[in-house]
Amino acid sequence: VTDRRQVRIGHSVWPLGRHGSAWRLPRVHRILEGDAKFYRDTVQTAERGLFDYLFLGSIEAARLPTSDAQGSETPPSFNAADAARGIGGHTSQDHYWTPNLLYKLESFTTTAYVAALSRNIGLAPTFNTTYHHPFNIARQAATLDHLSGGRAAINIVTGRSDDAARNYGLPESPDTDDRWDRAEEFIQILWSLWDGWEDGWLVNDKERGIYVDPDKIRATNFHGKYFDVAGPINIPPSPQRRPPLIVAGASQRSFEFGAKYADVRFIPFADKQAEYYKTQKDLASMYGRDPESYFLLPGIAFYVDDTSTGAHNRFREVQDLATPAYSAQALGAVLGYDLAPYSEKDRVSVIDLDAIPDAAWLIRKAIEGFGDDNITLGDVDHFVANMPYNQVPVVGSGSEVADWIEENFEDRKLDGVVVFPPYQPGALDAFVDLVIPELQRRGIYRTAYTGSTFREHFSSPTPKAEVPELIDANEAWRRIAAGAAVIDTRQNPFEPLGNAVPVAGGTLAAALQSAGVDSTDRQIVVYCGSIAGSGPAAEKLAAVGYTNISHVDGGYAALKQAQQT
Amino acid sequence: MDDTERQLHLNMFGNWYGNHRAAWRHPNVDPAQVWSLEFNLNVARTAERGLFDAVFLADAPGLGELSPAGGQTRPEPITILSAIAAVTTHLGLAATVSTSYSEPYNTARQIASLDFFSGGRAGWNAVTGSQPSVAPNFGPTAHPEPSARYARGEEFIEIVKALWESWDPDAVIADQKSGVFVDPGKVRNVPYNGEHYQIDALFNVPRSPQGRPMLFHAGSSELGRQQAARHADAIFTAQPTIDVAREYYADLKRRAANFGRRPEDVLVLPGILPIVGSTEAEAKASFAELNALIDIEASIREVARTDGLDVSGLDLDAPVPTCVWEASAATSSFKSRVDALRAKADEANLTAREVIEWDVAAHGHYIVVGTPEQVADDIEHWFTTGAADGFNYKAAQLPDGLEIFVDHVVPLLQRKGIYRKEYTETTLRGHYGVGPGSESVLRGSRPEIAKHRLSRAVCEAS
Repeated sequence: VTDRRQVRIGHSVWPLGRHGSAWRLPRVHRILEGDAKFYRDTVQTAERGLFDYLFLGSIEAARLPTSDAQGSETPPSFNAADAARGIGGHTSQDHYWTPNLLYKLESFTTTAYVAALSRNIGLAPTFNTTYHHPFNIARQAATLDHLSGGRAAINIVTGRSDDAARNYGLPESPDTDDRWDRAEEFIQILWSLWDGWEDGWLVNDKERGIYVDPDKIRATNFHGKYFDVAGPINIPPSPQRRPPLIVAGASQRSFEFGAKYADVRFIPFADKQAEYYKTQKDLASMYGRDPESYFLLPGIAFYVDDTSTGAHNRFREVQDLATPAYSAQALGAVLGYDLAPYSEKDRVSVIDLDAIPDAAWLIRKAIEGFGDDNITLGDVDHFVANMPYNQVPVVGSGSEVADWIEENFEDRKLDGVVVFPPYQPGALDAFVDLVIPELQRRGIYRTAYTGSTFREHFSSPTPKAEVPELIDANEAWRRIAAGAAVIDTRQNPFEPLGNAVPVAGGTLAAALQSAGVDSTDRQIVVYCGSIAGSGPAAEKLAAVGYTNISHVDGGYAALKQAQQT
Repeated sequence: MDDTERQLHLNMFGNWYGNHRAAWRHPNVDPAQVWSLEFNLNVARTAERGLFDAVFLADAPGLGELSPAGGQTRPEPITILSAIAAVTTHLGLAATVSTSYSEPYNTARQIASLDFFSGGRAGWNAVTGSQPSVAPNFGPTAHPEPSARYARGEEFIEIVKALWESWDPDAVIADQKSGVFVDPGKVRNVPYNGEHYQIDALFNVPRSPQGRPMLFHAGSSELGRQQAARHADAIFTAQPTIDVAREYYADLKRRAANFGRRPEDVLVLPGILPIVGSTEAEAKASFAELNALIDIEASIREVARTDGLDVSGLDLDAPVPTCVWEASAATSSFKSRVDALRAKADEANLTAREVIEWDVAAHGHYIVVGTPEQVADDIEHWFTTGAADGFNYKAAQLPDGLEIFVDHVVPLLQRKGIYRKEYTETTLRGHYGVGPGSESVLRGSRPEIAKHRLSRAVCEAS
């Protein structure tokens, strides 16, 4: 199924686990940061899962816990409404301090180390354009691309941490426009340096002693507001020449920077996801780019186990290790709800969700994670305390998690995921062993590496969407009689016709599965109340690669009438 | 340490075509090998088979003057060494990073991270960057004067050392039961208020296995020697003859003692480029063969530019006239190199062409041409007569030169009892036996005190 849109998967490496308390799991016997075996296992497991890339985040700052840590009562400034739109997160981390805020090994060093231990997987280190110089980054990224045979990408962040600023002699972080103006110059310089060596630069005439053709090597001579860079770089073009670019960020400037330049955008996954996704893609179109070549990947903390129950148990095990002491005031501030009358043992049902439209999704997420409607306020507090805004948990068996990915993938809320391991070791292995085969079975994930560079992993053919055929009711019945699968997309699928499988309450993917659709060329007939409902569903199926899709003019009523006559 | 226990140190100088000027023209050298992961890893494996203390990568962040003959491309060292860390178990890994063109926080993080990944095998060669040609890559400020470069370098090194020391070894508690991860009292801010840096930094890498990754330096000038003697655990130096090498050696040990350091904690490692043949005649023929590949005109221009010795227009088959030596020494920004070349020319009665060849063939380092026995004897002679604690080994061309050296010269050094027969330590400091390293003056100091002590150090250096 080569022409079907494919899920992209990255893995963000967190030696202590992304969840702030996961280091307390009894089976973690040592700090894995810098541990040779941990990195070898990680890259090899991700490669076994045929992942597109390994992602190494970076922080240019350290945050120590306030006096009693590790459990303080400082009120949080987490804002649920912002988080729902994928903006912000914990702006004050005192209440939510975790060891992941304290330290992180440098990411170029890390990716170069694992380059020697892997063959196919892409490698994406992170750097902050505010605190690095483009000439140095150009050299490190190009060297990594050379050594890895074209597997490098760079993740650009501009940072907004005042802690980081002080590490570099600035009193505070430059403002957003300043940072992104600098990033704009940065990327122009990188590309100019990398483009400076034209093909044919290597003469290698040992006889005459001519190594390079100087005419093929151009200076950069960049003069900007932030940088003056002469060039040329002293590194010949690497396999990808310009290693691909990954971008994240919550500001409009960041959105525009990504839409203009980036290959991959690391995105939040929040309540208004489809809207967010579409905004980013539209922005890429506005800048004249093919939105299909701009990949939007949220970071997700996957808790996967053999069974749904096992996964939820694992989720609770980790949540229960959270250190901050319950604070009605802190949680109340996050949710926008007065929790003073209640204790941490009270059930979450004491909260009227209708009264907190901005924050209700957080509670729904917590209930989903625990897999239990009767969680307590203490549970919610633990959940919030350890939920950075862009790594919501997804909890379930392999097929449930694959359903989640497929549904959101088909609903155009994401182009893939960055797998965050909530705990270590084991979270990545569970994903690779239990979820990947499910994605492969559904035809939306590679079964072998077909390319050897980062860019090649992302450049499998863009699907050419077929226009679904509009048929009349009589033709529909002929096809149904000939064995077509029938999908009913009505909201209230009362008395389905022709053994149709209703979608309502489930996913299109699940419906296809129930209807026994096992190949993309199977005849599929979609109906709804009218073509206003069946059209988009049929188009969605065509877009993901199904080639024999039709939907019924006149919808359910016409089908019903044709059946009677 | 008892003299009978004193062991020779060998450091592999990484320049992946080889260190002879014309190495890339050698028939066995593939121009792509520099950029190949497998090649890099194999060179490192061979060096580890030869029980080398470390592999070291020089660096310069710029192309310099573009010449058709030049193989001036340079991979970024930390990237290469991080990859090598993954496939080696003992070999030390020393990266050059310029204090003029990086940020202390970034450099401290990268080297400390390399120390983690390698289990304590990282080193940093702190250079100020003497090539004016790279400055425009970091413009618009022009290439600073040496004194300004060294003043910035001094601050840079102090900050990096202080960052490395800012986490106590027992700062991370990670008590799973209580949930207490870190003792905040054991992680200190590094406030610094200098001429070039005004920071208040909190480091985000815990205390690495070595605590202080080993510090290398390559200072030759007065300022460079002071900085080296003050901070470095080992010093790379280009000494074309044993006599100048002994002077340099004694001078550095004396300076280190003046800074209150044990002389044996500051190792002096001159470069050596051995051309090994099964007979002396064969070795000489190989050397001549390589020298014939040198582009002499381009080399004359390069020596004039980088070393300040200009022989253009002279009779290349006659000695360099005294007045040219004197004029060059007076105007060169790299006077120590001119002095060294002159000493070599006097000793071996070299023609101008040969001076250029000897200079560029090994970039001013000592060259020894002979049988494995002759090379091993020569190494022993330098080692036992106050000229070297070990060598920065420079293969003429790779991979052949290194293979021959490891297979034929290393066993002779072992037989002499001056070189290890197996690794007995696992860290870079352990291999070199240099102890924990010099403490940062910033440790536990208030910023103004640190600044005072620092400016005194800079004054002493100038």
